Amino acid sequence: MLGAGQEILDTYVAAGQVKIIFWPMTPTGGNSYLAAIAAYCAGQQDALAYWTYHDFLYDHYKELTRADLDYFVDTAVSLNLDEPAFTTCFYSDEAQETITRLDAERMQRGIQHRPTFDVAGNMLFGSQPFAAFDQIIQAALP
Amino acid sequence: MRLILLTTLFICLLLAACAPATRPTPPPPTVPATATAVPQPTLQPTTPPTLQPTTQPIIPAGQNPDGTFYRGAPDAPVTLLEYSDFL
Repeated sequence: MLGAGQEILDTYVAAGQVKIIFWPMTPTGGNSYLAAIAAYCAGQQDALAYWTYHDFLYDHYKELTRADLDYFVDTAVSLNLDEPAFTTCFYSDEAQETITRLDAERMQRGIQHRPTFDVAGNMLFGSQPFAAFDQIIQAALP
Repeated sequence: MRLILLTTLFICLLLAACAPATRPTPPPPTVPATATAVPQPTLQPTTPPTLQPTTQPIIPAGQNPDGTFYRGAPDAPVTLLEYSDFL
């Protein structure tokens, strides 16, 4: 969501009017897939930690193409997550299967463009300015 | 009399020596204060959350039955679903 994300959080999410769901796409596999698993495993410890990990990855996306497995574990440690629990989850079939299933479901829904937004049933393709979200949210609010 | 003078002098020296040692503590709080304006943790995401409750409300978060995660009020009237990756 990049730039618009913080404004949406401040304006609508903090006010209880909008709920954001992140659906991980992993079309390129590799570190895209590992990052999604890592965030998922952070979330298995605490749902708030999912978003802390998510935000960290967004802030450090330039490092992700060259990241190795340790990078994701080290990130978990730096965010004060439980390392053994994180590692167990990170290498688990359950975490990998969840991310694989979500990506398969995403394809079944015909979502190909990264990112794609579904705002109260209105589809937006590609990064959008806050105004684009704002307009749809205003119209959708009761 | 001399003893009193010496004792007083000693106490004065002691106070003078101790005073500066207690002074340098105030600066640290001003450093994180700037961090609250831009909530982008670099490698220490634990410090901003502890300092922010007064300025930024803690947004609830949870996991959906399908395995995805949300942030915001569970019963918020509008849902924004973002399909994306981290790279």
